[in-house]
Amino acid sequence: MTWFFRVPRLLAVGLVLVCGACSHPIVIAPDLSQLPRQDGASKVDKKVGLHIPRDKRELRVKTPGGGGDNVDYTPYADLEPGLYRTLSNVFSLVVMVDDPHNSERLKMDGITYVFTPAITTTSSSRNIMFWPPTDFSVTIACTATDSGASVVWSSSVAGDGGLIPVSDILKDFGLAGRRASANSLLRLESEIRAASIFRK
Amino acid sequence: MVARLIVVLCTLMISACSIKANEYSFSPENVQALREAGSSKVRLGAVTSQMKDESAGIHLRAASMVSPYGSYAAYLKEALRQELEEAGRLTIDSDAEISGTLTKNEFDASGISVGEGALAAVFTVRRGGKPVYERIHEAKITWESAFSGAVAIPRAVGEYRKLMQKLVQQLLHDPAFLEAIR
Repeated sequence: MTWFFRVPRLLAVGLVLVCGACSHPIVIAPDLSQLPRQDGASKVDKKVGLHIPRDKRELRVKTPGGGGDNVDYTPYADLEPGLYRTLSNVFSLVVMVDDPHNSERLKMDGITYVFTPAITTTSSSRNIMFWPPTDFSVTIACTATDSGASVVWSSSVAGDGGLIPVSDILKDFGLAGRRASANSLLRLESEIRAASIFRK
Repeated sequence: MVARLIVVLCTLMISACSIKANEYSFSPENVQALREAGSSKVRLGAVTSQMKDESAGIHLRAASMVSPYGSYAAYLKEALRQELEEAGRLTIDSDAEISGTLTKNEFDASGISVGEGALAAVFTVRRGGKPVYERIHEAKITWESAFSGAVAIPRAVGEYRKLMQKLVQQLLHDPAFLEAIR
């Protein structure tokens, strides 16, 4: 019978081996319904570009979760549709731009400004019993350059996930990150909309 | 007491569960391709599946990944809807209609180092009820998997949306398709 009492110990060791200091993949893409499409005459009648370097699109970052574990995700790939939606809500036409320094090409394509975001994130958990982060922040530092590659505007906005019930996080492990992404994008849209330089 | 708790925890961890695939979000490249190809609007028709019991989900080790839209055919329809709507080319009133049939929906996270998936669908464009475009498109994806299911399963779940984006990209970058909806 002694083997019977060893089973829980073996399971505990197994549990530690399987779960110990893991990095868990999550998605922080915002729910696009929280960034509703704006159609109509209030848009700035300009064609602008969104530049996300190729290496950033594939970039996978790792930040802390709970219980000593980490979470990993692709911030640029996850936020790309939201960034596109944000710019599309302010300007009449948005295109993806590979090289913001190619003045000749930008002028030929009629692109007035190119927006380049730099995304930083933090995460943590107030609960040591499970790994999904309960707290998350997304900061977007965005610069706009003209067709001559001169910086004409820059701003940094931050959004957090707010206080989310644990029961909701257990249904969607990336929820805190998804909400932080949506909040930062909403702030970015307000900042761009308020910048008078784009309406000249 | 501690031993009992551990046994319960282990049972919870290894028992089969159902997870939802990540919701689709449009790809800016796909939207751009649609915008550049023209501005005429199209209607989205039926999207069906050839697979049996398709709504039961895809097996990912001990878990089952289900579509957040009820079925994987509905997932494909949502993907097409988002891309067309974001490009401003979706309407309910057009003589041009896009429809599709999902013919392959394979997703394998059993590998300890590599996961792989493949999707295929037949897409049809009809004008006034007559087919003007019909072609099968297929997309494949591989990703880095892991021994631990706690890592491998969420990673696989995150890859499904990318695979669907690739399939839709095949369609939206096909010059014959863009000509058919021009």
